[in-house]
Amino acid sequence: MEFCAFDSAYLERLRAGDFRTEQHFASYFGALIQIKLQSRGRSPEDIEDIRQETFSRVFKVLRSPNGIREPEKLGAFVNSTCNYVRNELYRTNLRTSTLDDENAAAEAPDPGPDALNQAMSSESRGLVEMVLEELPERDRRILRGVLEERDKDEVCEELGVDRAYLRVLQHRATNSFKKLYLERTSERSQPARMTRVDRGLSKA
Amino acid sequence: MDHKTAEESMAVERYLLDEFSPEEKDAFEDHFFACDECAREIKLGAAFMTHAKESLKKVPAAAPVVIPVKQAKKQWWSWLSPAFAVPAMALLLGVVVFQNLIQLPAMHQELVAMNAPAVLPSKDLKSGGSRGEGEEVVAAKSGEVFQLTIDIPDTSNSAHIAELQSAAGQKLWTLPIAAEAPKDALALKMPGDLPAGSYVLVVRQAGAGETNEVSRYAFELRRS
Repeated sequence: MEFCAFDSAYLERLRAGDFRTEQHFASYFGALIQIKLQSRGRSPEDIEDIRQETFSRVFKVLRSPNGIREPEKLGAFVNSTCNYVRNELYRTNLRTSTLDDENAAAEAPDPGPDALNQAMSSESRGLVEMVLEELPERDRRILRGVLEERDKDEVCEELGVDRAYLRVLQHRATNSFKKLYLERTSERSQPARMTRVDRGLSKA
Repeated sequence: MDHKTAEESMAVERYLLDEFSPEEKDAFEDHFFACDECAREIKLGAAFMTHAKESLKKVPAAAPVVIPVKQAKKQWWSWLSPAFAVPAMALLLGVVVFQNLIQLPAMHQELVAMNAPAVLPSKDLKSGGSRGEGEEVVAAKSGEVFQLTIDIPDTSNSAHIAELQSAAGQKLWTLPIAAEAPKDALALKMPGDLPAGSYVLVVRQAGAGETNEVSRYAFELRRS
């Protein structure tokens, strides 16, 4: 999971077809699109189709003469395009028309079969397990109930908590995970950054 | 939805827990697609949930543990439980203290007194106490044994029985007197716990029933 700010330079690189920037874009928004569509119960095939079609259309607009010029609108544009494609698919079942347009799909960077899973390394899986181990047994049971997609009110009643507690638990667990994750990623990036600085200094 | 509202309403958690209406969902998606911070939170939250789901699947759910209330099996040493043992020990201690401080010293004193040489109160009844001719007075201290001297006016070679009766004629105890025992000036040790009062000592031939009375001595015991 990489995080970075979207700015004009980023847009320029995208327009220019910079491979790394395209990969970042596909990974960043691919994961968001997947989360968004999964929350609406879309099948993995639909998610993949919609994502490909969304990227294809976004890149088309981005590279057109009157394309996106304000970087802060990139995210909103990706989301609205995704909504449009999703509604289109829902209304007219476009699988055999627009989505079979191989030329369009070929132009869009492919984030892989499961953008979210790809974004998460096996290391982050280990971190999640660490967080889970730290949780009290009751909280683990609550999470299990929630994740097994059981009725949340039923889970709450069974374990004597309210819905607000579910949110707090979710928040706490995610924060613990985030903290561990960011610690690990900063540990990894720190020596690399120093190397670059050292290299620059030696050149000077 | 702006970032402040998203934060304050725990929008990330609500979204991941699927608590939003479709309209709220759309509004938050508009926001997190454009907000790097919320996008990161959403991704981390979703990643956590996905992995947690996998991890928790691997571990079988711990069944709700019902901790049975242990029915303590009665053991032979169960009387040693504090509820019983403490009062029992206290009672035992009380008995030991009572015996050591009061009862045993008293018994010891009595024993010492019994073994020590002493002058016993005594009364010679043979001279005039027989056949109800008058009541002799015997004086003794409270609890003190005393001696009565009697004659057995019987020339036969038979054993006798001395019977102590209360003034009302009730038999209190009997004492066998062997045939070999002297008939004249026979000394009888009388118990120290005999209360003050009037008594009659009746002597009969042994085995002859109540009819064969040999002598009778009336006396009054006075305790001081």
